[in-house]
Amino acid sequence: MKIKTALAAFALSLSAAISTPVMASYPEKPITIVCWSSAGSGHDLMARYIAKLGEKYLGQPIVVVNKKGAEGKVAMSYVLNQKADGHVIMTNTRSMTERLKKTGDRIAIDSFKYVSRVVKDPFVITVAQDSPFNTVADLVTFAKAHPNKVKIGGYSTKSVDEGLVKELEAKANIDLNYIPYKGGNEPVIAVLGGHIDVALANPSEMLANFEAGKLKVLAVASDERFEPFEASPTLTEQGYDIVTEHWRGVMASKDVPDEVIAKLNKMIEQVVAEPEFEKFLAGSNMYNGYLPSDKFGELVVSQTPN
Amino acid sequence: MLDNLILGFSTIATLPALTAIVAGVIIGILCGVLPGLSASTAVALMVPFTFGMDPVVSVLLLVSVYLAGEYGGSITAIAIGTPGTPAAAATMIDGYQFTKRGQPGLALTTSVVASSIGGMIGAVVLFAFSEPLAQVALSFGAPEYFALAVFGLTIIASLASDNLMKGFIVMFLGLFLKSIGLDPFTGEERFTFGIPKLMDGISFIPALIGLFAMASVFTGIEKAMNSAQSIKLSFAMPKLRRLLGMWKVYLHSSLLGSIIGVLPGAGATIASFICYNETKRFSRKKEEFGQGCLEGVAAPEAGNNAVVGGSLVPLLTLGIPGSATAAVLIGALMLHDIQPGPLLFQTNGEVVYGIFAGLFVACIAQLVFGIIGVPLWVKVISAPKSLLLPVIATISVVGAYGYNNSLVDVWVMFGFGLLGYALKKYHFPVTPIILALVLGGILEENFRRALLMSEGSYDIFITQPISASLLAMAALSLASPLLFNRLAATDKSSARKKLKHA
Repeated sequence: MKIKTALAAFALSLSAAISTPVMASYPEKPITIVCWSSAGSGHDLMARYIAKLGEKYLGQPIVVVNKKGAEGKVAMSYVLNQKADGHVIMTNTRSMTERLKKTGDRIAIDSFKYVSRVVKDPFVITVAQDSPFNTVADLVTFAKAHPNKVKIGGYSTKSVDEGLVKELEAKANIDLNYIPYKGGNEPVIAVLGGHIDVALANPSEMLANFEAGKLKVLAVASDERFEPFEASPTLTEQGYDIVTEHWRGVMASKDVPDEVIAKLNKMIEQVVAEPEFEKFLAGSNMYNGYLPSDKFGELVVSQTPN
Repeated sequence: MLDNLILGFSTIATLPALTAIVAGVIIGILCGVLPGLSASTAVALMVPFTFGMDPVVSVLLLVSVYLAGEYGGSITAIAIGTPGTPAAAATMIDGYQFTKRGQPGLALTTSVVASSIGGMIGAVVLFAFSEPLAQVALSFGAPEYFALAVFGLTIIASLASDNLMKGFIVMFLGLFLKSIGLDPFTGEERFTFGIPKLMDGISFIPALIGLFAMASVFTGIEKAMNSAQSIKLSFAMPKLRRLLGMWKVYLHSSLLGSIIGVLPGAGATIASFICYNETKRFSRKKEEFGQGCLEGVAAPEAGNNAVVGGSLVPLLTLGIPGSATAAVLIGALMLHDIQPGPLLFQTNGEVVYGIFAGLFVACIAQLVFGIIGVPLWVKVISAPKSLLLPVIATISVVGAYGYNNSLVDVWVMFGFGLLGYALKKYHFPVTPIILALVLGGILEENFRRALLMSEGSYDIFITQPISASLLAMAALSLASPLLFNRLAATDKSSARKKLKHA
């Protein structure tokens, strides 16, 4: 009997010890950022810059671990299986959260707390230099006369890219032939080679060929014009009210205490403001898209279809 | 041209640059030797180390790792019948026969010489023909890639010419295994049984480790463990004259390899198999291929190292990566404020010509370290089987796990190990699975993409000149071994008839 009571007492004190809030001293050990793409990718580099520059603000080392696979589900289920004390967080992207349900599934939008959005990556609608299209109006006029004949390439299927095409089709009342590609720069190659007519791309995927004069930009899908495409009007300016941006950010399990999330958000806010981070963004043609936790959370929910 | 050359070599004639090349070559060879680390993984792992380096130095380090990684894979392929990188699967066909015969030194030396020559020719192609070759890269659209994949698959007819039916059975098995995962166009899950990790399909590297390394462990266990190495391994290296005598093979395979390297989406594995097959096709001693023939080692190795130079062509001229490894390189370049693309030659000439010169120096370093390494590798494989097999088994498990930090990959590795063991036991060829896994995705995606582009009309495959000629070549490539076999058979039977009459 005695042993049993002793055990019970031990178990009780143990569970008490585990459930004691830990954020008082957060972070008390090294922090892991789980990244769902491979080492060396743009996404991975963002995580590594946050790790490198953020250590001094948190006073603990930050380590990046790559867990690839299943459109981020491998990384998400790994993070959700860790102790929710904020020592294991992860990077996310729009394409990853957009495929989740709002609630209900084991991995859903509400399984996470959204720390901060870090980077935004606007879309550019581009054509080859010798293309007859110069504006979105040219494209729409041609597509009206030739339904399903304009081949427009983008990244993957059921993706942000395809969503943008569908929105344009609906608003302009046209029918385009959307061709999905596996890598983000494949549509750009296909446009350069004359295999398709139009490509959707993020600036980093097409800038080199744009600067060399091999590509023209029909429109940008952001809320205002941006460098180095100041000459190209936005879709909204051309009469189609469409703003589509890709983004990358940081999230954590929903059970992580709010105080910890606030500390992490503060750290990222400081990192994003550092000149070295700005240099990284400029070098990889990405744009500062910092949003604090609450705004980021709202954005993610608003972009989730179901 | 000459001043560009001088610019290139003077850029790299610094202590840090040369150190980076030598370090990169050594790291690359070692990563290539380990079955879990392919050249592209090795380069990806090195990227964070280059953060603080000078741009040229960091690119030289990465390019050297890439080059030497492609060579390093052949060492394990020859020594223990386990390709260290996917591309070395083609080198294994003939290379491993030499070890079985007790002459691994012959194949190991040929491999490093062919690799280094291939790498150099690839570098020359990069330097001299990058502009016109960039156009080749652009001329390949969906129908062309589909036709290329079909052409690649027909190589099975010649790899498994002794039993075509078995070859095709294994190929279709491989194509089926490749179809596991998310449908590339609709996003539906196919044969994943709810396992999230399988949504990306079967990881190729763990499958490769299983098919060769683990399968050889199983086969080795089955054979009596105590039977000591029956064959004495010799340290002999091939005669210089024999090595130089293969200059046609080097040249032919290197040029072919560089061109395949230029095509984004093709890559070293496809280049190795095509080079092997083409060398066999034009060889006067076809029957020696597969039995242990130095040309069969030289061709794929020259080809897959020439891919390195080739894959840098679209990277530097168009800003488009020609291979998975080149994609990692793009990220690393951009980190250092170097935007690869059409303007790079004007804005950062020293980087471009530095890479070219660096490739050259890296080839020489690779040759030196490779030759020094040959006796070492021979010594390693002279270890008794009872020591070697557990080591291979351990490396296989670690390599499969380390590929993606995932236990599912370890199970995939074991599963493919059993598959490889069963195939070997019933005398099925294993390489068609590799070809199917490499080409299956390209085949399916581009077939469907081409049909989307043509709105369902199959004409797109035959109206495009490149795709039409590739498909015609595929038909020829499929038919010719069959015809040759038939001819050989009738020759034999008529000879037998004559004998009877006599």
